[in-house]
Amino acid sequence: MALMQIAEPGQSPDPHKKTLVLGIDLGTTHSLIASVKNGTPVCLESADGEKLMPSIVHYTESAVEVGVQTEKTKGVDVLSIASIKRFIGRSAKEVQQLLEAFPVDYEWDFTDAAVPKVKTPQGLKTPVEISAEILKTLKKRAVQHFGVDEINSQNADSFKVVITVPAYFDDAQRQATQDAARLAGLSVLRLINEPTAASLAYGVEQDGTYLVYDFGGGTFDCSLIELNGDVYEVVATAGDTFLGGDDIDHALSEWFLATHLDGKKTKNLRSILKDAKERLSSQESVSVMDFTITRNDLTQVMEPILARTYKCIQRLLQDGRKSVKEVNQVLLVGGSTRSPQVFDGITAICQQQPRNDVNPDEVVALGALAQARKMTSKDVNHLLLDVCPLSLGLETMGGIVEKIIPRNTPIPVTKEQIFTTMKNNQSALKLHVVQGERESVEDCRSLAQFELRDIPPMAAGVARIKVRFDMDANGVLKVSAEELSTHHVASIDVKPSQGLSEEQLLEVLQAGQASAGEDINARLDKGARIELQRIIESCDHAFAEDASLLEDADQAAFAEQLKQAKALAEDAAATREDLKAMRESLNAVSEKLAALRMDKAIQDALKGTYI
Amino acid sequence: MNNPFILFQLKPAPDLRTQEGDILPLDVLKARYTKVQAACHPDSFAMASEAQQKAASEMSSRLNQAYKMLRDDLSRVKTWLALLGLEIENQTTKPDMDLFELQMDLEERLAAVAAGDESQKATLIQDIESIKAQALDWFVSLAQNTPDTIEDVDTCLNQYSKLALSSRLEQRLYSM
Amino acid sequence: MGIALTEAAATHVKQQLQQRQSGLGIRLGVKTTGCSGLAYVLEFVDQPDPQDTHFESFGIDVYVDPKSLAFLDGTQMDYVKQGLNEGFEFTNPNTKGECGCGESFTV
Repeated sequence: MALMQIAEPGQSPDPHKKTLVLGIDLGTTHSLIASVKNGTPVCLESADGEKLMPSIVHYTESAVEVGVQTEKTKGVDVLSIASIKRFIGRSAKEVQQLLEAFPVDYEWDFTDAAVPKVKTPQGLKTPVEISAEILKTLKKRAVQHFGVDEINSQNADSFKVVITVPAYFDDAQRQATQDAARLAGLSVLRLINEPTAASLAYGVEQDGTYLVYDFGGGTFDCSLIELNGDVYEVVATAGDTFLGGDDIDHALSEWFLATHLDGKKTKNLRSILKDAKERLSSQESVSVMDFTITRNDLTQVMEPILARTYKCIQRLLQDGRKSVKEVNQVLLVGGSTRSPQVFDGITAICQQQPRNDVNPDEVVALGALAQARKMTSKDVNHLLLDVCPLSLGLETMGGIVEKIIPRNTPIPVTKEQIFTTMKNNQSALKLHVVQGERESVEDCRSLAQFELRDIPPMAAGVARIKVRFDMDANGVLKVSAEELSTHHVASIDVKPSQGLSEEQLLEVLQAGQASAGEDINARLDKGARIELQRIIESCDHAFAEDASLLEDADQAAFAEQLKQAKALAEDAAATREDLKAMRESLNAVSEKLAALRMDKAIQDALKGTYI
Repeated sequence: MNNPFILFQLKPAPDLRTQEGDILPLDVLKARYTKVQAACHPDSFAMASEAQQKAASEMSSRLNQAYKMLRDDLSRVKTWLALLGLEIENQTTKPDMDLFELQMDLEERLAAVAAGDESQKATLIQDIESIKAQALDWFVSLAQNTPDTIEDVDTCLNQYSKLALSSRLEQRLYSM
Repeated sequence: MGIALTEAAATHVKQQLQQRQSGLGIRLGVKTTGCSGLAYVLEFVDQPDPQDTHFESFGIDVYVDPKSLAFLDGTQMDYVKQGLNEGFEFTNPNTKGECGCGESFTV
């Protein structure tokens, strides 16, 4: 029989409906997956007993393997891709720029300027697809640990995950990460920022201000977080998505080449020096290829890189309007914080010894898990209030950016701004959405361009065009524009200029399943039915609790729709389209009640208080 | 427009930084904000219907906006005035030479600090803070008379301009 | 007859109760569902039902409701590891068949 776990009272899962609640740290150099096992949150081990999985994807003509070291697959024509996270959600131009500073030994295809691809023995693969392979492997690990059966593991709904991203990841990078999860068959509850996740699992209990210094393999983030009871409120965040342990390795090999090898390239130099770097954490000096490297040499190589992180800290404190003395504790996260240089540097900059008593590799995945548990269970009560890391704006006349959502604005957030036309009878307005702190459009990152067309003829300056920015709790942006006199609307998910389109994504998804010999149709049918059932359940619950908030006529309409939906969910002949349409109409009918329930939630929360 | 004071069940007031007995209204605001966020945040509705998730996200974003409006001195005063029927956006201010000179003087000093003259920074901050405090005090004493409407619109706009100027400069000083 | 735990199972139950910091023991039961009729229920107990039958095995309190007991009498609960997976396994003399995945059974 299948092995069982002890459930909370009344919460035993039905057969084939086991849901795994997971936290994933999708890192540049290493990835981890965490779940509750035997009642304890842990990072899951591989069959070899390793929790850290190298984020390296190996492609051969017939197979994809993740995490294993290259040595093991010797003898076969294999392409190994490391640190793909550096390239996810980036345009061809950006990848090309990155490659100059961070060369790789595989080839790219830049035919599609929006979606650069890697040439692999299995054809062209996008960074999203390559990242999905890492996620699939982590998912497999969870399946092995919990004995999830075949039927269950094909259903993305059985895997409720929170995935962490660098706080400084922009919109395109976040969307790409969500796409990768979809390809891997995971249902994403939320993307949360790595330093925020770390604070959830660090075991801080005392109210106060915490500075999280998260220095990983490829990215650097720092966040200022205020803890007040169960509430983790991010005050400000800063960082650099091109700064990590990788850069130290790179700098170290450049230095070694120049000072000891007269510029003569040597095979595997970087990994040899990476090893030397790690040994220098505990030793004063190490010998490399008949030369001696001292800890002091390394300190000097690291100096300019660490200086960049200290600059981020300064800006962080400034944005958060805090002085270093007001920080109660500094929390170290990420493998690169193991080096004594970081510890000493932070001690000097922050005027206190940072905490490093928690495993810096595991804490992010465990924090993601804590958030996943909060979102799936009523028993976990913390509240996470995060911010948008980078300013978002629109291009205006002369290539100047008008900021709509300034950085460090708490999310979710909605902002509206009215614009007008510049010329008489102007019939279209082009909107260019950008992200970044600089004033000139050229210096910011272009997220999307779209046009509001069919504006009725009007004199210049008369049309009133309302542009609305919606950023959800994942830090993902949606922009819409409406001409107010005609209510003509144009809207987009900010996606097209980088990353995969919805169609491309579906294509990849279907291709993958076809090769696995799955019946996509059957799977989609089943998915549609489960979706409808889930919504019925939730509406049933809402209606039972709060039907009285609705007026009689609305109550009757709601009850009727619910009845019809239940009938359809039981109807074996219902098609996927039927189920989907019913889901949409049930959702539409329930909107009013949903909003009223939120008003009630607020009133209940503040009952009896007024000053 | 929604009244953000009502959303947090607070009595409309231009200032939340002054202690009332043993209560600091700003602390009350913060406590209520987190309390209602806990009740409405989309994280608490991840397993609910799409409509409920959307409603939660909308409410949560409304709360964020309202909280921001009340926490910031300038936008709070602006909101308070709007509740008394004075919409700042729809007003035209008379040119005021004193205010203009004050602005020129402060801008000049700010430029000097920006150019690296750190020695002036402390006094500049002090001056800006004191202009801000005076303007805010003016609104506080106005509020004590519990007016239904604003009668002396010109003085009110003048004080608001001072508050706006000092807030803007303060912002720039901090982001230097 | 009744319900018995192996020593390994008892140790793990005890650990998990300690981690949970509350709970009197565990509930064993069956519910009708699944591809082949019945499925096991294994839960913590915070408040036993007056109708429950109570067993004790290696110091662990086990509660079973009267309806389920008919299908479970004589069951032994063990703790086993299968590769990376680990958990509780029941040996139930009343079962006649299991569904392919082992998540439900018939009697």
